[in-house]
Amino acid sequence: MSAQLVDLSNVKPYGDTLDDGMVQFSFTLPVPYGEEAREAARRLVLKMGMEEPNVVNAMDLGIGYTYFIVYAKCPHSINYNAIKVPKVESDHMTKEEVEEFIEHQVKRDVVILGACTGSDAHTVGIDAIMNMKGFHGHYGLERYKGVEAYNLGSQVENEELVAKAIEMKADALLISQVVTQKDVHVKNLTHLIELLEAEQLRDQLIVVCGGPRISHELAKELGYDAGFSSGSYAEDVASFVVQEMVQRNLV
Amino acid sequence: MKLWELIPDTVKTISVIGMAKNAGKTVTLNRLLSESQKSGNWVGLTSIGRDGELEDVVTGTEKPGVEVVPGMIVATTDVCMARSDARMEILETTNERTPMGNVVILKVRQKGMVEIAGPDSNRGIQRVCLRMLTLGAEKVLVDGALDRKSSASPAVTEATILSTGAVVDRDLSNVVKETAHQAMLLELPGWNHPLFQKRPDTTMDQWLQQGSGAGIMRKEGQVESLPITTALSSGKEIGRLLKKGDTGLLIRGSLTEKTVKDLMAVTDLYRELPLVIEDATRIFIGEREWRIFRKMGLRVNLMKRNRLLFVTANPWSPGGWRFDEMRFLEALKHEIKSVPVVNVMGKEESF
Repeated sequence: MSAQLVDLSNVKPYGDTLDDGMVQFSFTLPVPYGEEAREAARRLVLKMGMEEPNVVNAMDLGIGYTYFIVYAKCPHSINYNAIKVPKVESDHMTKEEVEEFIEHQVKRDVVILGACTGSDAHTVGIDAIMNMKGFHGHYGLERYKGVEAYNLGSQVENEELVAKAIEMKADALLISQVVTQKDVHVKNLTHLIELLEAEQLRDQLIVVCGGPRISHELAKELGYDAGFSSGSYAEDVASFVVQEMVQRNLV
Repeated sequence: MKLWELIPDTVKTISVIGMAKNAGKTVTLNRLLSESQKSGNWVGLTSIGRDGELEDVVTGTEKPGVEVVPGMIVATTDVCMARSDARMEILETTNERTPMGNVVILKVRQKGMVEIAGPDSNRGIQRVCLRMLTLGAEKVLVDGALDRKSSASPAVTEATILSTGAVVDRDLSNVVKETAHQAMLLELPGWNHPLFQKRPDTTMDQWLQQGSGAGIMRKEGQVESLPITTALSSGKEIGRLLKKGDTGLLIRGSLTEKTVKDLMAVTDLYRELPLVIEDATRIFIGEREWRIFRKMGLRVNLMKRNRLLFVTANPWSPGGWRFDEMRFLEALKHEIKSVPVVNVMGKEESF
């Protein structure tokens, strides 16, 4: 099972053996628990284009809903070699390098505001980036020398954030959006950009968004300077912000 | 009748904005492109978001591509250029930076599909539009992104096309209500104060340059700048500074529901003068609130009027539902009388 055996132009899901195509599904159907429910789940997975679906668990959720776990074989494959995903293009710097960069190139403190905006109350993302203790052994922005980091917390209204940005003379805004059902994050994120445009501040600020459903490509459409998905650390965000400030002559 | 013919000769830059993502902006754009080609016009094209990608990054739905023909000028990023199959010549590189690369201005040499992603900020769009006009484009189309509307500001583009569709809401009457609200905002009247009418640009520009967040036109005919940097979160403060006899409240930047509510909470004088804002894209007030504010006596005038050319309607939603085409169009036309409403999914003649 060494890596050389994998044909990257023809990648399939891996279960127990290479290319067996095994996939696990878990989902809920609004149907009462029973044999018909299991059959419904099986047929649905077949319809998705899977082969040999096997309902390994069905659970009664009450009020006519049933939860399933289904195993099935995926007949499709992906050409991994042909994939190109735009990523944030800045030289990755460590915390110390960012601090040095600020000292020598920016030559003043960088003011960064972070917030979970709109109805979102899930601060894990913004806390991991902003808070002193950081996350996974990567210190947060509050600990950076030369960075004035303010974490405004959760459910911050865009209006309030913009007013704060003006008051604090912010250089960068970090917006975290974790809960994103029915694409509410999209409306909320564009609303902030439109407000900044209306206040004629868009050009003077680095505006960055992050969250599990945010990609760098989506950031472009939303009108942000960068998008960070899960797995990004404070130094990734800081590297981008300080380099972008210099590139855009905002120092 | 063609959509292209609804654009007056004097209008050089046109934004296409949508009520929501997948409201039919790209379909509208494609139709304009093909019509412009038949009429022999050289068109420039750019986007504040991204266009011509085959799959939507938000919903994963299939999207129409954008086809360009020789003679067109396109502003897109180097990353998108590499993904396009049209053959293009680089006319100019720019300093506009986006998450998808730097913006370049290209001339189409051979017909093909392109992915378009222009500058993300309005200032950037303005700069790129100007360059495209200088480089030979007769008109420039600026496609919007998602539900972003700020590219419709007269500071960015001279005229606007509004795209709406079933995707906005499952309920037809809500789609019509919200679309009519947006169209109405884009057609708000200018400020008819005699002093302002005499020298509209200089009076306002001078005041805007001073950088105050709000100002009051006093009885004596002088604009007094208020000591605030933005009207955001300052509605009460502004309201307390109004005096009997004032003839206009000038607001720089955005006008939000909260600002209006705060203003109304401290004074009744708002009933006696218009709120004067830069243009309609600065208004962040929903349909329902607007109706309430209007009933309470709020009037809003614009320093610079927007110019809405027409509304396009798409009766299909990628969410899976569709409206009856005739009913949808009739309902929209009933509420929007001042500009044409066009079914963009219909044949060219169907108005």
